[in-house]
Amino acid sequence: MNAARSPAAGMAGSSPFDVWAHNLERAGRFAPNTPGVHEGKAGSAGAGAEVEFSLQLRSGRIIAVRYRFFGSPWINAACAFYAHALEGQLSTTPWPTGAEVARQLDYPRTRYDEALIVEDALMAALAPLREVSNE
Amino acid sequence: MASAPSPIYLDYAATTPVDPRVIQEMARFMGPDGLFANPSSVTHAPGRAARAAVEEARAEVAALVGAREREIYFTSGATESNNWAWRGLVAARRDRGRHLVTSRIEHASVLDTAQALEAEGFRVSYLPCDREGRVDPERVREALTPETLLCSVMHVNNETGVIQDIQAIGKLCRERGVPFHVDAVQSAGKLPIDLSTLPVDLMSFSAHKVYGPKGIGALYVRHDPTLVLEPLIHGGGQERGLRAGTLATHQIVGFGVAFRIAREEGMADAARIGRLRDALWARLSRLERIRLNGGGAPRACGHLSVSFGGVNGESLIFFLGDLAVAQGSACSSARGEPSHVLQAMGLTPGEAESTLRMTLGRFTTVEEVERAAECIAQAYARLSVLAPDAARRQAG
Repeated sequence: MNAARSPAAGMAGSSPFDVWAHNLERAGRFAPNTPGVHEGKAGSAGAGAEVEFSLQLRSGRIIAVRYRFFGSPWINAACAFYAHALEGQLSTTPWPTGAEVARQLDYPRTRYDEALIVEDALMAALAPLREVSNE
Repeated sequence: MASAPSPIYLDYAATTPVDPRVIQEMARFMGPDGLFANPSSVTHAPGRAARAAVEEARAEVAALVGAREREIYFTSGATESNNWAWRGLVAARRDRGRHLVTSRIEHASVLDTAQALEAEGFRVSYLPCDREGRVDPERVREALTPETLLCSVMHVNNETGVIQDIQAIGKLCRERGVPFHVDAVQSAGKLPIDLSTLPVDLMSFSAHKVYGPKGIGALYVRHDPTLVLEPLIHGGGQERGLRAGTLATHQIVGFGVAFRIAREEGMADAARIGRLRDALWARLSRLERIRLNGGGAPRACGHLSVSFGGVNGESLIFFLGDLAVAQGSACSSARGEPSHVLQAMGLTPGEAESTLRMTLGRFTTVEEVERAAECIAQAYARLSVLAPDAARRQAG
């Protein structure tokens, strides 16, 4: 997976974090009854961060990603980064860990946990697919 | 080509711009042709001129709050004033007891000092507030003991703008013979303060919240009857031996001018700012799932603390672009923790994190208020639809 692909052109800010935190391109949800959508979530609003990932798959490939979030710009940055990186990939492709994303986006240490919540939501959406493919 | 709109500053509770009239006067005390001499160097004319300017400024500071000049001691700012009030009094009276009283909603410079004293073996009672952010004077009465060295309650809360009943609390303290300290950083220049009648023994002030420079403040210490404080900083004997350090003439002069302007124009300013604040709230109150914190209590003119259900305040600020607002106090923002003030008022950490503090001031315009309301509404709407259903349900 080419995790370094960047949609930086025309985005606000210049640091990796700024670019991704301003990116709401894939934020939102699929239209009702969109076929092939798999969902996963992690966190809770009461605890300060909640993320829901929706992945649309066709023939084992992730063709579109949407996510919704309650949380800080650090949450959105990780969501936007993952969503961008996953589109077009096979569902079995290894994805970067939350810590790797946090490092890549220059998160301060105190913000790493937010990238991990995003990773957890993604894992929740992808894990059942991987179990099926491993059977 | 049209220029980009300038940022809208709505963080006057964190700091204010220096009034141009203050800058103009301060400049006279810095350059080689100015009155730059050390005000303690009274052996020569320039030093005496600087000293006269310092005393004139002291008179202006005292005049705004109904104090006598000799009751005003210059410090580096309100943090030092709060530290000095607590530590100076404790040092002077430690043989009388080891108990202190304050509220849970004080500024960090008070709460951290209280915690430091706890670590040194003092006992501190932290008074709660109600859902509107008010400290009940009855709770003060219950907390005071014969061992109590000091009671300290802020006048106006820096996050919500809620005004505490310092008259009633001070009266209770006076009846029990307990010195009463008030952090008046957010109230000076915005509310009438008359220390000739208020039962307050120590009061902290800052210049930079009143359109003066940063780095200068004052502590009022009642002289009749004389309240004894130990110095916090030792050295050259300035400020009648109680606060050492070369007096920063230009800062002090700026402080004096800022407080003079506040005395002459502050109440008119407050009325205008209050109208703008209410206009901003009138626009924001149309949005869904929002709450005005402290809205049921008397508040100072410029404050608006609003919780936006279902969105995170940090994200909301992030997408506000050129709108300068805060999540909590500047100090709690630096710590990255949910506001202790809002949590004391009963908000959950999540609700506290969904809150913006907007504070208006002397230079806020009607156009800025309209633009700010529009920006906030747009960003809120944008983020609201992106929140998971559960988060929105939790926000009610």
